[in-house]
Amino acid sequence: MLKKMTPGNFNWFLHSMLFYHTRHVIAKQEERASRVNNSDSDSDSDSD
Amino acid sequence: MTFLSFSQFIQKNFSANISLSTVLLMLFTMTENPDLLSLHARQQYSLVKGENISSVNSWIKNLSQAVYVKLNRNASILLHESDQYEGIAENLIIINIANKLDKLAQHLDLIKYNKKGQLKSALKPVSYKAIEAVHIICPESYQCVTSECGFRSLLQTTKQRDIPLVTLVKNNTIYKNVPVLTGKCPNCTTLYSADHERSAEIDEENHFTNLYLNSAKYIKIGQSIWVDRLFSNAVVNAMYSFHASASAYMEFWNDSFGKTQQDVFHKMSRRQIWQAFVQESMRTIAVSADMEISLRDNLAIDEITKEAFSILGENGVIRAADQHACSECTHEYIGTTSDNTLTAGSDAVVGVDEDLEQTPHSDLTSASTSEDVMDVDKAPVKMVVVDGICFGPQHCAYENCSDDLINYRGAVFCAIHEQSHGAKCRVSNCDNIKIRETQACQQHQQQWKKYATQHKRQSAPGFRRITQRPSESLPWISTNRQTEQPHDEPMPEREHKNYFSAARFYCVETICAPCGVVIAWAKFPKAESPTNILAFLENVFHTEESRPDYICIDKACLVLRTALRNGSWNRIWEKTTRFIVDAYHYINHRDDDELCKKWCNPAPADGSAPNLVVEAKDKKGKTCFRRAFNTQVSFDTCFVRNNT
Repeated sequence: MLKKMTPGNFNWFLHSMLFYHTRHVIAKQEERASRVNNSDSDSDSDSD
Repeated sequence: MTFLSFSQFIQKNFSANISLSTVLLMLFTMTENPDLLSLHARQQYSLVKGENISSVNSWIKNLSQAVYVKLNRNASILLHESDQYEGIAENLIIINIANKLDKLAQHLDLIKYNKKGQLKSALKPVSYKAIEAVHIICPESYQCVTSECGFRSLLQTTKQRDIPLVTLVKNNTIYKNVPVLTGKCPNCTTLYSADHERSAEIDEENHFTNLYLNSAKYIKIGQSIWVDRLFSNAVVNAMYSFHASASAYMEFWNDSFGKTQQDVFHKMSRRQIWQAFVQESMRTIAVSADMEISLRDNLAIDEITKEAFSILGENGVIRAADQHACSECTHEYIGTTSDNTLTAGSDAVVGVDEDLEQTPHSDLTSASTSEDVMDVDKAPVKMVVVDGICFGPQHCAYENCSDDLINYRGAVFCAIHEQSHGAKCRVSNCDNIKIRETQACQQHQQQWKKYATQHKRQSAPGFRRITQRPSESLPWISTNRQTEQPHDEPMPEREHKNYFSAARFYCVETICAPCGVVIAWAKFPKAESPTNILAFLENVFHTEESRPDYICIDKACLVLRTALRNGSWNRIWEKTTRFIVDAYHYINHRDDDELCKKWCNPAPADGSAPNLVVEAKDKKGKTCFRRAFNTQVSFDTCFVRNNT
């Protein structure tokens, strides 16, 4: 579908998708970090 | 049923302090569960021998239990004081609520049995059409926000007959004839709409600017279609997650939601889906840039994308990745004895050459690190991966011109070259006028006919082009492939034989962090040349602080060679950055390229670059060394390949 676009639409579409992709990757990293933190705090409270 | 009758019933059967929300909860619980009420009603009559009558049966008790849980197990807001007492058991409360619900169902005429136990009529799903709310699209601002106007109230100046009635898609439900109201400041004449504000340009008569509101609840996507942000977000997410085109999403939405509401709405079009994508993505990126985008009034959608890219595109730098650092793409600095200058390394690669996997820790670090150096306070080590994928949009076919085509329905030149060469024969260096209905002069008709035959739909190459499978090889199709360009050799100059078709951008180059975050992207019109890569890197990392410590490129040795030759190595990179190749490239190239072997090893096993190697445990728990960064990352693997 990218092959059929005009350069203006192509630029915007690709830029938007890369932006969303980056945001998505960062959100996944944060989710993973908070899961690790939660499991750490759970194990701490269990040991208490 | 009159409201008075309903009100009296509630007062008589429920707590005197019952809130409106609890009453509405009870009412909608009844209207939402006609099937359960039918099951409950049937069990209240014995129509077959052996059937037991049960007025408070399990069906209604389960509904009662669900209501009780919904009310946070607080029955006092629902039941009369006489219906409960101190220490009442929970099952008695549930039976009490079940009795009330049964009475309410009968009062609402949702029990369709007569006194003899005969079914009057089947209970149909309850329609909410009559109690549907009236929707009006109006501006979010309630006063003029222009500083000179002193927060004046906004006037609704449109005459009743001129107020547009539009279709609104909200929560994927279609509402017809929704009025769109616009506010006007009597002082500055700014028009406040639900998704933008239109104001006159300073010193320019009859020129207006639209400020696109990031917080808009509804967005206009067609002449008389507005959608909520749920819809526009879904379009963008579908395009990202499913790699759906605007046409594919249009089909999906029309089949899923449009068809079930055909009585009120015909169809969503591809253009409206594209408009929703542009409007939503523009606002999302503007929010991240902490700004609201302002464009000239009455721009076509293609103009809006161009303008939005020029304002928010930032030359391909992705703002969401700004200052990003995580454990995958940033490591703590490990000092070296070589004071960070280029030193010759072994050609062995950690993680690739199997015998090195088990190298004891002390053997590797003893040659490279010292405790004194480890104490030095250094910035963390960063790496980025540069990679390209061969695809791109069309541009002018004329040599050394990459301007937009005059149109994208068969044109091959930009506006300038169309004027100068449009009437001429499209074979290179031929100035003859082309013959009508062909693209070549008399002399070059044979070339044109050959091209036209190969590109018409009936021919196998033409068919493959239409079905978007140009690389498919079938036994009956003659192969006439071009020699593939090795990635670590300079790109030869290609000569244009003719201009029968438009040219295409050669590739899209991306800079990614090893974790997958995209830092920047650029289009290369002709080749993924080292000069283009160096220019791209210089543009993105224009300050010394922003430069990564390592840049991994599959042709890093070529890039390094070019940088040394054109002086950018000494001028820009030497102080801060090293170019390394990926492991796959290195094992194939180290034997025949001394520069690659010496300077571009992605993880030297001799300890000359300890920041590229980390300590890890293997499956047996034994200490070994692995590459510190993932070099096999590229955005194209996850998104672009699926869209080309």
